Amino acid sequence: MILPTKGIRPDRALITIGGEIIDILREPMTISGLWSTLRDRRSVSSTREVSFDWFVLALDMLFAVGVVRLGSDNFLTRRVR
Amino acid sequence: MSTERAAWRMQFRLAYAEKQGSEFESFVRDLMELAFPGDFIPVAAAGSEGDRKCDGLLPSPRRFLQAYAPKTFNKNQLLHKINEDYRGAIEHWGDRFDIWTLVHNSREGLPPYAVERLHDLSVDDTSHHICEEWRYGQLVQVAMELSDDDLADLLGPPLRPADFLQVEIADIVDLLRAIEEVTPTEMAPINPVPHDKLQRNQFSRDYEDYLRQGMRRTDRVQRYFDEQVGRPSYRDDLAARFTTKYRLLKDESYSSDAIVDELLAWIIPPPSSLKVQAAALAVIAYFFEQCDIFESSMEMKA
Repeated sequence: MILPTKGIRPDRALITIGGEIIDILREPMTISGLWSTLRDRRSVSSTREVSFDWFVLALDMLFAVGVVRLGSDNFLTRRVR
Repeated sequence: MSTERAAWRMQFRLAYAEKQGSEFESFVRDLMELAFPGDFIPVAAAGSEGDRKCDGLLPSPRRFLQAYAPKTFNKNQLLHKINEDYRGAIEHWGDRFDIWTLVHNSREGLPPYAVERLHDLSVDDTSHHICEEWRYGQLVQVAMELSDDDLADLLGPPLRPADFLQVEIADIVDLLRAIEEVTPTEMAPINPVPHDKLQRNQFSRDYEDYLRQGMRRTDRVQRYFDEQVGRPSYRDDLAARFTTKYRLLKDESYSSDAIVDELLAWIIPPPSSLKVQAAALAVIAYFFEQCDIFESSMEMKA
């Protein structure tokens, strides 16, 4: 799931989606705003769409490795520069 | 063996695996009537008398046939069946046969206690009747001696290349759902597909042709998996189940052709049409191409 497999193409792997999330999260965003931006970005490019569940799994992964955090104001921010 | 006869052999395997109870009895009866015209005597139930523990007689070899095809074997029920039916056969037909044959639908054979009971009955019988079993191996040999017309009568038309062209995604979905029930034990590694994989696995020419025909529709299988946006790991989960099933068969020394037969019987829900069989071969061909099942040449060299 995190890495590509035979059934999970590189553009659907969690590590790829996680990278896109980090790229989008240049300034604090709400989860719904982040999801909306990711979905719009993927609908413009040729990469395949992902479900909300899969987006949440990617977020979970980023939380687990300490790359993003959720502030008390419910805005997501990234911890990498 | 012609392509049509190879198709019929595969269809016979599926029929043997699918049919149970009275349907299996009718299937065996039809096979015997076609194979031994004028010799085989079918016996039908006659009201309160029943069939007197007989499904059919072959007077020439003096063979008595009793079909038994439950969903699963139960020890008490199976032993009771053997004992009662054999005793009834002796009582009603004793002077008309030398060999009492239990025809069943378990390709793996009878459980040890049943084999032992058949042997004991043979040894204990003062009138010197022999008790034995017939299963897939004996029945398919009888079937393959039939003419093309008789095979078509028994099994219907053979699977042809044109049948594969009609396979659509909807045909594949139900087959894939049947695989979901199996608990996987391993995940397949990512390997490139060796160009000689078909030859390396020593399929017969006819089964090579079947897989190649199935490969013409693996695009449908891939497209279905690509559309599972809400279940990105669905393909890998099913592949793990396929790999587990393949490994079990491989460990039991099944030939590559027999493994294809077993996989088809595993994923095809009865009753099966030619279109469903073609769809099933497309699914098997897909996992073959993806190297989830069967040996790659790199593994075999190791």
